[in-house]
Amino acid sequence: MDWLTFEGINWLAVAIAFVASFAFGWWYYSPAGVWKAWKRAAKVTDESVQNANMGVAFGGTILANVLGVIVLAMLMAAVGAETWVDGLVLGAIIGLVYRGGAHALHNGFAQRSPVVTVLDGIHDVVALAIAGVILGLF
Amino acid sequence: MAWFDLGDVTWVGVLVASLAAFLVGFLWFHERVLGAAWARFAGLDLEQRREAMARRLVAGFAITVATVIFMNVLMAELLVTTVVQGALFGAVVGLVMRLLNQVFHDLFEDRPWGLTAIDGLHDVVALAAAGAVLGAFL
Repeated sequence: MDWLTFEGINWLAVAIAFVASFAFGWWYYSPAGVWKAWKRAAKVTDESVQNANMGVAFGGTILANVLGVIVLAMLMAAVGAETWVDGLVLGAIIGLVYRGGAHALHNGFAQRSPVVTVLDGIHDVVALAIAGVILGLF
Repeated sequence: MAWFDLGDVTWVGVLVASLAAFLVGFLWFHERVLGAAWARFAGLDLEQRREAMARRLVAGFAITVATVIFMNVLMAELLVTTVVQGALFGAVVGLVMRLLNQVFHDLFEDRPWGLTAIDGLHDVVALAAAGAVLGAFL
């Protein structure tokens, strides 16, 4: 398993890539982004947002995103994806196939609104593409 | 982008691996395994579950095939060419890129933990199965 190694990972790049993709998510799911449409489609109410444990939600989000960026960095190093274009394409494809694919699969079977799948899928593709671009620049 | 080469794809391996992943899903979401619990968490009755499964079968398989093709591209580049290495690759990608991402979205969408666990763990096992089969073919 030569690819599953921390060797060759630029941790500064990982940190910046994480912050950039997290910042994108912050904006994307804000009222300036898709918040209203997403909230309606996901059937999330103001009350459920207020009742949600935001510490757990943000903690989980940070952990998921950090690990996602680290694995993306491992894959980029192992396959020789060394430019920002390589990073953009690899991040976008992983976001589309693995993350967007999971939304389409599970939301489809659960009969959820396709709008949730599209909005969450777009977020995941763009967030990982941004991370890939930054990793490639380093 | 030398790393992205569809010439590396073993199409018979992709077909068998996709069927293996699909078989995992069929058993996993069977009513006598986790299907009944899944339906309860998803807010569906068993009849709605059966209808959704039947209606989304083709789309679900198409998403699985697309996922497995990209797994094949990456595994060939990473020289992941044994059953064990393939299973580990599928499990890591399933865990980080699918399960953890599912956790992050479900936390904000206030969805039941049981649903996140059943969907996410399915992805880990299904991708590990697909990776193991691909590893045998590569």
